[in-house]
Amino acid sequence: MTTEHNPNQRSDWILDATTPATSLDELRRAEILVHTRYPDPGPWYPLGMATYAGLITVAIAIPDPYSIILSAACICGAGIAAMTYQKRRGTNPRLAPQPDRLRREMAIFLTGAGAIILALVALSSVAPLWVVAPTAALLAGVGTAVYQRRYANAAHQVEVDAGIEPLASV
Amino acid sequence: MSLDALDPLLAPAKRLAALGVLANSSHTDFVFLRDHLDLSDSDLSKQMSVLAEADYATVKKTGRGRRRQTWFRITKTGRRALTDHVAALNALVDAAPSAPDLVSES
Repeated sequence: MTTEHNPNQRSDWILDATTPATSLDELRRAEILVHTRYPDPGPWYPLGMATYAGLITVAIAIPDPYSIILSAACICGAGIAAMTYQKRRGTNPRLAPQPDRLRREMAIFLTGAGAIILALVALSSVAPLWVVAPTAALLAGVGTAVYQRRYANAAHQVEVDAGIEPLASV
Repeated sequence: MSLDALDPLLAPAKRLAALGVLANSSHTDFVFLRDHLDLSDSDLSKQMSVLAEADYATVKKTGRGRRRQTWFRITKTGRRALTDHVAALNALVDAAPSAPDLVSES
């Protein structure tokens, strides 16, 4: 089968097209919005993380089979919460093309989380569970609240830098 | 760089932007694309149908009733087409004469 060259075909789509610079600009903005627009979970995020950290600390410390049951419940709960939030957000951003400013905030958060876990492990060798678990909850809650605010500010700044009109609520 | 390097399917800026969103996510739903690309339901449906027919994106529907969501995911073909098209656009922008050049020519 041969296809005939139609000289009008290209002009059809060129009429629909914008300039290369405009197309690239629109593409760049759209790519940024994937990472910067998300429904604010509000105080539920730090509260949820605090509860999760406290429960998982208890789950690790208590004897089997309660340890396995509570660990499984924590993991399932976290999975369900993450899936529900992702559905509500409407997208699941890939981390690789994330703007540098946001990646930096995430790296700081993960480094801080790692440091807190190491500190809690050290604390658990000298303090009882009723001290370690509330400490884990408190640190996770405060750390998440700080991260939440820093990430929102960074997302706002990324949009400003890209010439996007940020949401008023941010 | 000639216009032949451009992908006619990605010429409309909103369709290109939609594919850009998909390239930056593992999957994205209809409402997110509609709200953030500032498109009407019908226009977005049309744009996404073109991408799906060209095998640039896949469509998956989940849930029922009011919880029904339509999710889109970029394909390997779509990712390659996007990369090539963006490279061609960048080459065109780089090759375009700047405003002072145009003034001096006239």
